[in-house]
Amino acid sequence: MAAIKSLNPKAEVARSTQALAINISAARGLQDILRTNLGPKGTMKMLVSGAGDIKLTKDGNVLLHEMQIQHPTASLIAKVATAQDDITGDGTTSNVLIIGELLKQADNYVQEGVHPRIITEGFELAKDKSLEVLDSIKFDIKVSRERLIDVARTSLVTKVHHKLAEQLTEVVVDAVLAVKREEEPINLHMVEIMEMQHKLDCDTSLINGIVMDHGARHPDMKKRVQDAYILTCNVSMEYEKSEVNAGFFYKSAEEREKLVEAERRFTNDKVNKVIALKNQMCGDDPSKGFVLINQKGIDPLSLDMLAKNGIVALRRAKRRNMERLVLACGGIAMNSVDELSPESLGKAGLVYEHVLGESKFTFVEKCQDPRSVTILIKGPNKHTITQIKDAVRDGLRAVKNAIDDGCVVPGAGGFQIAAYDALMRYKPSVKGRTQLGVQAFADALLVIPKVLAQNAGLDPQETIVKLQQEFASSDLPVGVDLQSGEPINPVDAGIVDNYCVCKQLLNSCTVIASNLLLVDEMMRAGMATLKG
Amino acid sequence: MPNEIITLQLGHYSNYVGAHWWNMQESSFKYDGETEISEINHDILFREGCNYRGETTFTPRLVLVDLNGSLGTLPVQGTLYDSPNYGKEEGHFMWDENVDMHQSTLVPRNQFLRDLHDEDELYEQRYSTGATNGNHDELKPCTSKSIQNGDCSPRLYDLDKEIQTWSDFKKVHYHPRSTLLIKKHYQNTDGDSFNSWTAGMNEAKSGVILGQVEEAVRSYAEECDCMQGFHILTDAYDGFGGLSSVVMEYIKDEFSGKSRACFPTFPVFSETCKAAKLRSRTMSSVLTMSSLLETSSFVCPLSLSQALFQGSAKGRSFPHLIYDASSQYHTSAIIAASLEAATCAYRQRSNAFSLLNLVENLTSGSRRLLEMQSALPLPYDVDQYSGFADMLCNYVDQNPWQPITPGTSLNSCQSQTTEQIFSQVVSLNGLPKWAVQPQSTSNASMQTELHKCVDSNSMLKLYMDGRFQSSNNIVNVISDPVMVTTSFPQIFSNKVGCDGMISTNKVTMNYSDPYTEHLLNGTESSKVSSRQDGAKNSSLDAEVIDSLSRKLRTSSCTAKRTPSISKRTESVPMLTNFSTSSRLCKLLGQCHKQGTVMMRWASRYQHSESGVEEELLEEAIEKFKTLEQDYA
Repeated sequence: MAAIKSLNPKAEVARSTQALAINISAARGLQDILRTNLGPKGTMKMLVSGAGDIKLTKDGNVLLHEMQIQHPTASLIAKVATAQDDITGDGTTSNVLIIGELLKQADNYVQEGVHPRIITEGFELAKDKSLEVLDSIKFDIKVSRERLIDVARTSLVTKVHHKLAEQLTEVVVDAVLAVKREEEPINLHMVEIMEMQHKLDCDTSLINGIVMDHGARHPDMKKRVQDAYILTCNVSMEYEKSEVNAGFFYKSAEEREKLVEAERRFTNDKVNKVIALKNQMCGDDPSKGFVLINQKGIDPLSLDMLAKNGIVALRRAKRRNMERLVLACGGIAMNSVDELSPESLGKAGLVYEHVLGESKFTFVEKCQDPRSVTILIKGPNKHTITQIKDAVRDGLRAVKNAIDDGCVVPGAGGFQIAAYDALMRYKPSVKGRTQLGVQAFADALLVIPKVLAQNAGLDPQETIVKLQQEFASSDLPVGVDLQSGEPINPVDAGIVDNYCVCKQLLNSCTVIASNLLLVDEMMRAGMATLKG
Repeated sequence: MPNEIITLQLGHYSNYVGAHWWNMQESSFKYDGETEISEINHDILFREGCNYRGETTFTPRLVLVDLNGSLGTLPVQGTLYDSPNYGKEEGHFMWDENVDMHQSTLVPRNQFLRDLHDEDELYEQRYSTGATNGNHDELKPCTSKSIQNGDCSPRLYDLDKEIQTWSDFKKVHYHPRSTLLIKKHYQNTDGDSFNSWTAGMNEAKSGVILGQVEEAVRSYAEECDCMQGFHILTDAYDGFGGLSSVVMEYIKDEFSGKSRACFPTFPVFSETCKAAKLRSRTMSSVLTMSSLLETSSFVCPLSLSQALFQGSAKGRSFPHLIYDASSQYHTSAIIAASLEAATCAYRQRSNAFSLLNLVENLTSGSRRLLEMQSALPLPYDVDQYSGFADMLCNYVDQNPWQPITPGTSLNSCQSQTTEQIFSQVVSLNGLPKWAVQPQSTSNASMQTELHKCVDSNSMLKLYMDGRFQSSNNIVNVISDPVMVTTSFPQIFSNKVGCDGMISTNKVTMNYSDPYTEHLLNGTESSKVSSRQDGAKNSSLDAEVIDSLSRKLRTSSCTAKRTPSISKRTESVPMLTNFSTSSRLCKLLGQCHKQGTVMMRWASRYQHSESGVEEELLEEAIEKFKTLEQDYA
């Protein structure tokens, strides 16, 4: 009897083999749920809530977030897998599959009396070896559009149907290349993602500029402006009474009028400064436009003044858009109207408004060398848009990773086949029973090509054997062609994975699987159970 | 120019209150714009929009946050803004391989929701056949068409047992961007981690929810021409307290010039709970109150609980209400009715009194804690009083209302005269004209100054000035009563009539009552016979009852006002106030005391469970201490 029982009779305890069994069953349960997701031929999951809300996904990360996981071990694995997504943006499903498989393979040996500690030592050695293989198999890429497109496509075909994936591929690659600057880390926040419930999913496109989900609030303002100066600022143009508890006493009605006027003049002054700048820049030239984009509010009177002077004004812009607008159009975001100057203005070739039901969209386009762009997601309904949004986010991350790493890894199971082969050759050099751990690790890695083949309706064993034969004879990376089941060269076929995703996978899976294997006792005996 | 207010509802109980509140407002809409114009300017809290079908919509300017799985039958996006071909392309989405369908069991709708849905369908059909094309530009309310459709008779529902969540009685359609869920935490699960203030704080700082709230608030603010401020209803006793603290900081920064009216709400916790849970509840309440006092224009805590910081508490008693204190559906309804009545002060069409005026009149410096008191319904006894002045005369040494703010009731040993109200804004809703002044001046002996006033406004003002002499009293009178229609729980005692008037002598009128039957047969025979099948049981048409009761009233008005009593109270007159008084130091004292207890506990256990920084707590205690002196 566990010692804790004498202190807390209500404690729940599971020991050694029992504890391991619990962990393994949880890991495999999770694996069973996610295995059908893997690869471009995986199953799409449609989740319908009790109220009829629809969620469509194939993304392991989204699925794990949607599931209400009660089992502590399962939720631990899910957290690791989603952390993988947080860091690298991909590989959630692979993560869950490999952890499950590592535990399953290890279980075979533990059943036969091998101590888990020995297996984990083998895991550790095998992991180091695999990382070496990974480093040898990776190949450097110059930042060329073609290669990046391969990377993005490999990620996107596993999330959305191939026709849409083709389109999104170009969109995400061009978006990342637009915001990328030499010697600077890529900031994906500078890619604005805007959604529009309109038309079809294939109408999703890249806008070289900014799209905002609001428009000018005055009927006289132009709906389309060409050759426009853009002023971004964060200045309140509303007549506001402050909340200070000060009472005013008026002798007469005129006096009160005067006071109100004086208060109003304060706001008007700010507006007049903007108008003065407009007149200075545009003069009487009607071909030049002037657009004011304000983070704070603009009240109807101020709008009216601006409209009369031919200025298009947008109020309450998103905080983040202030930064993006400046990057897209140039200029400086102003926090006060006192220092307005021609240098603070940005430029855009075209600004126009698009109205859709009650929502308006303002497009700021044709900017010179925009360093911030917008991916405009369109779709007929909310769940399609959400699905595309998740896919785009992953695609962007994949492209960014490839640029950051400067190298990629052959996909379609190519790395796993190579690693298996290397581990088999490495195994005899390992001393004693630790070999078993290496063997288990190698077998577990094969789960990726196996499941890929299985999801494509192929025979997993047959495919694996074919691939291994091919690899032994050619020494080039070999992956599985999911159409025919025949071996192909993934690099030629344009199937490449992120280096950092693979690396992260090897590291986190080994650590978690080892930890779970070494669990010897589980107990639930917190304060809560005691008071029960 | 409408002075728009944006409403935020953070937390499950707040959403209960909110759902009731919107329902009440919707019931008070007047659709016939020419003959009668509502005194309340609904544009302040609602917005006009347009959905994908091109229909005009009228939805609350609302952002609500709740936990995953708390919506019941309500889809996150609502149903008002479904795309036109919704349902057709459900099976059509592009994926060449297999599709797994995982469907959770459909939550069944209750009768009330089914009927609402049927009405919507009916409207849909009419719309599609072009029957309404003629009056296209007229503002077509997409909510509750029952008022227009004479054929759809109002039914009586027994919702008490069927309410699982707030969406089960919600009539008003919300805008699709209104509803936000915290995905990570689930409603009604054991071991939910969203109990502590810190959990909410962390969720707001690391999760996506703060960004979503900001985005929704921003897009509503963008639409407003002349926004006057915010209503923030928040649960203060769990993680939402932490969330609201962070949200309020954002609002204070971004909308510095606007008024921020904060209403922390607490249900009545009638069940004894574990010590740990009570502790995290107390901790959260204390910290939330402290941070809201810092960031809001005013804070007015609302609850029917008699003891805020106890494991099990009783509900406050109201003289004419019979309600179940453990039912969130019941307690939230009472709070919502009080809010609806009290906020009328700054929501009137004719009156320029704004939220800012309210703030200016009631708060000063750091003294931003307010209390609300409410008389639901107005204790106007038709048999006892002949005129409003009579009623007021009866409340010379006692208050006509009950506090809705927790922790402010005085001990019985203290007399009410020791309390000092510094300032208050009083609203009187829906006192009918005939009840203001007696027709006959028979009992001249009873004449007081109050009786000489010509209207209820001056009467009330005189009464308030007399009773609360040191207070700055602002009085508002609205002739529209508070509507407590179908979705409102039936909590009124049998002495309350269908128009909310009280009659102590009469109990519920039975429809087998010979007197009524006679009337029915005499004046309404044709109508009754045509509706015979409907009137078979007690489900007699409320319309008939209503017209009947109106007749009763008008016919007997001159002689003696007989109250109209039906099965269901449809509207109530109310008397409510926002006030700042010395009684609040009692609540502050409690917060202070609890804060100190928490502090002791936190330092002893190194706050392992809640992880709250001690400094925050220390700050809070200090603040309550100084405020307590301010209010004394």
